[in-house]
Amino acid sequence: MRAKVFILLSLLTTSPSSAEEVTDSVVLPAIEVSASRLAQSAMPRQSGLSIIDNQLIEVAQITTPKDVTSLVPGVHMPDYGSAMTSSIYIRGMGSRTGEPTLGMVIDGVPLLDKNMYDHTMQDVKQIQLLRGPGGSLYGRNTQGGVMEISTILPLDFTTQHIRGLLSRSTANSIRAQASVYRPERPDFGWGLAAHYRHTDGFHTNAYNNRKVDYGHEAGGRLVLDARPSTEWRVMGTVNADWVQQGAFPYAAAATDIIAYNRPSGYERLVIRPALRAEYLHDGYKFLLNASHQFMHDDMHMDQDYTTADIFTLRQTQQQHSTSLDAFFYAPRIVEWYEWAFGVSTFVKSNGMEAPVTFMREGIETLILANANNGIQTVFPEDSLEIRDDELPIESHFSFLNAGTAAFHQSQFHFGRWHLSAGLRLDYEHARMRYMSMADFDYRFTMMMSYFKTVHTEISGNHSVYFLQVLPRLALSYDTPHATTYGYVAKGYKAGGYNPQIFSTITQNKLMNDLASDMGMHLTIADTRFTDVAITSYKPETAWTFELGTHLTPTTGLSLDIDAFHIRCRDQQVTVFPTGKTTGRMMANAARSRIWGTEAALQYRWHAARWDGLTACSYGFADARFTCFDDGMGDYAGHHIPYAPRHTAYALATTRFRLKSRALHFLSLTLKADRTGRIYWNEQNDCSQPPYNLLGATITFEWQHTQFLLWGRNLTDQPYDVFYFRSMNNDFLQRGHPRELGIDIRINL
Amino acid sequence: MTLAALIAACSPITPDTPEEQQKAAFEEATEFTACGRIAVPSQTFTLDSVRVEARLRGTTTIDIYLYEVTFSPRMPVRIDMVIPDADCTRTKGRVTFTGNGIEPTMGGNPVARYVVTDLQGAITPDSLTFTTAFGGMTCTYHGALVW
Repeated sequence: MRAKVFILLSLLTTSPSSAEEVTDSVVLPAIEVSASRLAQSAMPRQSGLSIIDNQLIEVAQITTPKDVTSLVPGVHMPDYGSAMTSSIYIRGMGSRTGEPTLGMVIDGVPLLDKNMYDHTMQDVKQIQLLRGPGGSLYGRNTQGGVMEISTILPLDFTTQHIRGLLSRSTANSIRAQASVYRPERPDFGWGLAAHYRHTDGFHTNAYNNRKVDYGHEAGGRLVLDARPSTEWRVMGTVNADWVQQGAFPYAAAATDIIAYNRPSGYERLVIRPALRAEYLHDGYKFLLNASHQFMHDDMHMDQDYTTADIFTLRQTQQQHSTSLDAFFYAPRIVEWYEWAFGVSTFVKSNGMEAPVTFMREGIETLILANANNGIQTVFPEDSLEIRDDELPIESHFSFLNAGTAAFHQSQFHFGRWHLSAGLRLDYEHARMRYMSMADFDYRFTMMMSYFKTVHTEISGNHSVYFLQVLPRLALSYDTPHATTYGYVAKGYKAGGYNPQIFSTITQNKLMNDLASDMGMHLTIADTRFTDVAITSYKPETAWTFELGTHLTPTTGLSLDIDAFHIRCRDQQVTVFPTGKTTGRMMANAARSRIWGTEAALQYRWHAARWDGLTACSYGFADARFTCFDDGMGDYAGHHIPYAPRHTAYALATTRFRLKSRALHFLSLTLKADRTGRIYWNEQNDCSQPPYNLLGATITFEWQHTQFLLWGRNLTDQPYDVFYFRSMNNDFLQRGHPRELGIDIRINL
Repeated sequence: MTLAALIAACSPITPDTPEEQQKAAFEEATEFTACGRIAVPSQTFTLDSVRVEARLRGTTTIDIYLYEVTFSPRMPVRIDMVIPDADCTRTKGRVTFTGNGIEPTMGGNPVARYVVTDLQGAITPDSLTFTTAFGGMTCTYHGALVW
């Protein structure tokens, strides 16, 4: 393999004659952000904003959205579970399940399900991350911020552009990418991209001595880019991504050993066709984004994460979403005023099957043991028996979410002062049809000589409506080298339903039906989990107050500093039933407040023989509940779990221009990040202390080729990325150990 | 006047007070519902608001239904139990019932181990009371009739 790499390398490096003739071929053309809804608003100037351009994307080796963790201050996207796990924490906000705190927009199209967030990003030219509520512009699920990803378009180039990547790293990990962007004419171009990824995995299941977190991933992208007139630009894209992986490498905290007996994995197919049109005339701009998002996924897990054969969960989803966004911007008709207006709508349907299957040990320990403990206090010589070796609780759901929104933003300019006021109305309807059922054969020895079948079923439908009014008011003051701003804005996370809790509700009803069948009446200790109405939860809302400044004191240097305060109401938190039951659910059970500050610095320099880039960031968030009593404890004053208190990141890269035919550039990149402390539970009695990860890259560069040697977590720092408690057992997932890799990049 | 007197004379005699109405209804009824207290002396346990129904079948048989009852503070479930086929005697203003060696049922299934012995009870227009033993565990019930 190594020999092949060097042969390929030598073939690719024959063309250049000297370093002086070499231009910065890997740096893409100037980024055109006119199509960005964000770019047309005052928000970038009047909010915390991180811009990660193509150069920083390459040197920081950002290949998935999770890689921006810590690079953007206050952002933490832990890599755990599976590709469907896209927990995002920003500014102390976020949650394990439910709707996201951070919106993700790719080429103007919002991803409508966070199960799609974790994907391989290919040919990205820029990532803008708005820190703070996207409120009046983006609305739904952007109360912590918006990540806007812009990819390469064929008409960004004047000639054909070919890119390739081949990577090999620890754990037999392979990554291959290839793409071509071809402007056929000045008014039409096309692009085609494909990628593949494989890893054997880092974590071993001691039960069968196999890797738990192996993975395959493949995808592609077709782009058509047309300028039918000087005013219009129309782009059509189709993205497809497929993931198939082992998942959930959760180790018992007591032993630090992963050992479970049932297979766990995740498979997902996403296809996203989108159409985007821009009309620019006399300063007027009209942007239209239409998309359809198809997702099919299949997740299965050993839900007890032990070698005991207790119970498993399988969840499959078939989802179709359609979105349409229109944005209209008017230039300054008078010197002091400009405005923008937009409407957006979406429909999302999701068919979900989520059977929970109790295996024999689960039937014995979770059902019969509980039941017989009670029965035998009265009838000590008798017991309940279940004949089945497996007890499946089938659950079928059909979800429909439909929403529409309208927003307006006015900007007033008075010399160096700028005032912007925005208002957005979001209306959403959510409907759930459900059917959950179980059949099993039982016998109560006291009075039954034979087994009898009992059938339990709950079915029906439920719908809820949400209306949100999202105002935003911002004021800024410009000087030649600084913009100082302050704003107040409201954001929200959508409400929805808890399918996860249905197995618990059905389990409770099953026990009731079983008891009734025998002429008994059970007393359910935690009656919250007997009523389907509890499966819905309301939107979470947050008001953000922020003061900050964007400084550009010298060429190449930018410095952002901000401080913020967030008050969150109806906070969506995960609550668990008491005792040895199996479900979890989202509930609007808390309020919280967050104080925080962020700083980000980027400095780029160019000299005759060398150039470089430094990026540093720091985020602090003191996020605490002001009110949260889940029935088992009062957590007011406690830290919000899973969100880090501090994130810090530093990257420095220097590229030396060499006077050599053999090698044109040599680059050295060092990066370090520090994250923590992360509290793992509401009690705050268990946490991940701050940990440091060091990385380095050496890049050998020719005119069209780069050869990289890189390492991540070079000190092999042990750290945990996830912790949870289930059935009175503690589990955690370790972060990736040291990784070393070789990349070859081609740009033609 | 004559007509009014005639109508009054021909009209059925209706009870004047609620008590009299209740007594009249009692004589006609074949199903009785009571709400009251069950006591288990051996467990020093009492449970209030226990619903008991008595359903006459013919003139000599009665079924006693106990709903959501427990017999011990440790008992985590409430049970529905039926004492079927007790002997009964109906006289004016009173139904008495007795039984011995009756297998009660739960959910339609006979529970042989908790056979009913020494059942003795009475229903009046005001109350339903009985004493019995389930598998040797004595209990008493006293409930007010619900009309």
